[in-house]
Amino acid sequence: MTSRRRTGPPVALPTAAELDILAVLWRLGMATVREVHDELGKDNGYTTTLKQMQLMLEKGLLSRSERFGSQVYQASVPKEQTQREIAGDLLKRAFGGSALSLVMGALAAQPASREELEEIRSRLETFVKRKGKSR
Amino acid sequence: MNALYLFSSAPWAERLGWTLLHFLWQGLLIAVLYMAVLRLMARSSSPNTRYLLACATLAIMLAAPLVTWSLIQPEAPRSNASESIHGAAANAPTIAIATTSVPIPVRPAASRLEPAQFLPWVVVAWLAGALVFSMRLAGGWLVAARMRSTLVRFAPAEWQEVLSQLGARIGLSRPVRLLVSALVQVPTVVGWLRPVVLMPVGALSGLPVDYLEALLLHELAHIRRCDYLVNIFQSVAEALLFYHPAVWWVSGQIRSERELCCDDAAVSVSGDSLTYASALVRLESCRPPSFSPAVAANGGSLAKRVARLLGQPQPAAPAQMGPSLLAAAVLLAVAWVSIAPSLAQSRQTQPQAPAAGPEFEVASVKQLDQTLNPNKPGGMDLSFVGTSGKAFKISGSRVTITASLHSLISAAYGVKSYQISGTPSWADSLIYQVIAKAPGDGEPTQEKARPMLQSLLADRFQLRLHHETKDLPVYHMTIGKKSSAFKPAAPDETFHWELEPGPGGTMRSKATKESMGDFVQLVGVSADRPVIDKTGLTGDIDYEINYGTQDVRNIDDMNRAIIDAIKDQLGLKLEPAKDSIDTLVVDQAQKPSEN
Repeated sequence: MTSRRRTGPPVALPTAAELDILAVLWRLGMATVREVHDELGKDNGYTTTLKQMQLMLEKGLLSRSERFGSQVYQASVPKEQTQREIAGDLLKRAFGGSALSLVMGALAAQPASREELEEIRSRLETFVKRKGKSR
Repeated sequence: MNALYLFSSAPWAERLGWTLLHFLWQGLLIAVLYMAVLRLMARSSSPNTRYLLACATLAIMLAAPLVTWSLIQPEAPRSNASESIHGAAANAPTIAIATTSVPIPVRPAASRLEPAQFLPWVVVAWLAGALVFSMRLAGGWLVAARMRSTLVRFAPAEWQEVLSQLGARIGLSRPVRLLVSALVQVPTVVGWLRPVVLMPVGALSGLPVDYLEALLLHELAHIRRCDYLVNIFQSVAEALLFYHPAVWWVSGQIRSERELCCDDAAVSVSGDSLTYASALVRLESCRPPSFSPAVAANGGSLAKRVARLLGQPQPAAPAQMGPSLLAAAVLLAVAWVSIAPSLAQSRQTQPQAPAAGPEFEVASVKQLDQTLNPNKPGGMDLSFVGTSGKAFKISGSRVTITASLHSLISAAYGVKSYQISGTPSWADSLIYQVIAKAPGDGEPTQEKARPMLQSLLADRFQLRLHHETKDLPVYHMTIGKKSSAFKPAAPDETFHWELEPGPGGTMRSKATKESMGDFVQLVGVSADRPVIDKTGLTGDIDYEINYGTQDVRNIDDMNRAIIDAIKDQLGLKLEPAKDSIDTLVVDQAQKPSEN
């Protein structure tokens, strides 16, 4: 079965089980299958959750991206937000950039360009090779 | 603009404005010194030393305006020239004549760009900017704080354990919570009192263990060094001094050195700089790529860090200083233009031209053939123009004054005769007639005419003077005993003064409804010191004295005789004293050319 991503609205309403998964993802923002499964804490096996989430992906209820080599899922159906959540969202939109300059990240806020990254990677590899040779 | 005017007259507003302007050159100076020290240190420095140096520089930059603020004295209220006698008792009588509030002008003409004009704008602009930046800071802080609780979950227990162990190795005593957050792209530290490390989703399962440990060490190093707190202070400095590019530059230096410090700290614990460098590179690759063709704002910071970790020569720092230096130079120029004129102003020993205020439309100044002959008592009639204004004849829009230059100055600035010094010898004897027309149709008041007269004196007589406070020996005039020869004038009287020979070779000076001011001046003319009225009398008086005997040979004898008569016959006392008196010192005066 090929995984096709639907961009339109979901065909059918989510089932109860699917709602549970959506609830988890709404709370966590984005998560791996493993994390969702752990949160659900159900008796089902991990594979069941995996299959379910893949199905939801096809249905268009979820979207998927890759983070650090893992598959990470997000809800593509927005939750009805409470006032508080809307306010929080607005805050984040207004002051998100300012917040980034206050927290300590391992890397600079601005990502490096593709060329730069290539250059750095090649440097690193050259170094490793040279080091390997000198052993 | 009314609100602005009111605002600008608030005493602290001007002080704040100057403080802000002065920081333009102070900030640049501090930045230049910082660069010099940096260059001196160059080879032998560690990131930590440079970090501390940059922090100290920023702290000095924050301190500079505070120092400036305390050094700028609040503007002293302009003294009322004719009444500013310090050290006088609080019950100093007010002389009932028009005590003008025309201050002695010591500021140059308003035609030059007055800093006082744009200073309120400076303060308003700064307040607006500081407010915007502060709000940004507050909002950002709020959002950052919420990152600890929004869209987060606990990391797996085993990783929490790893973090605790790493914390112990780097020398942290506090426990640090490890969380997984959907909001961050890279490992991040939030908070300083109860700091948390936020890991991006998928990182803990996707990255190799040794990479993760290296990255966690970096974050723990931030916590151990209290970097979060220092960063907040930086943000406060940036909000308050947002208008100076040097502040932003130094703050950026602090941030970049800080990362290097944490790199070093992490490597010193893990012992493996290659793994650490690889971790950074892998982390960067896993981020959503940047699609902008231009170099990132922190251009080359990752390249620099990696090169340093590998012990390779670092790539040349991008020439970002150029535009900043240019901006700073522009600011400096602005500062110079705005501050320099006022520096010239504040040096009060410079002779100044009076303010170019209202001027007469037309005026003629003619020297009369008469001179003030002190030996002719009648000549005294013209000498007290003073503050009585009697010789100020104003009819319609035409103003006529006949007086010596000394008296003209006295009339124009509303000061007493003894408050003027430095006049040339001819200023007391030559008499001038000034006939002038005030602008407009209405009849000007004396108050309005005075500044016009000041302009005229500056123009026609090239009069330049400055304001000095001197301790002068004076007399305090008080009422000794009641005398019938000296009494308040009756209300229905009119002014009359006569001087005629009296009995026994004396001269009799008799006046009705003379103002106290004029009388005091009369006494002052004859006394060898200025006379300050301490009688407490307001209103007009009548008096009569008979003075002089055959023994009067010269002016000094006559003056002495007058003073004796005043004391004896009018029952007045003249007590010697020393008062601090505001005086006008004439720097320059020339006889006017015929016009």
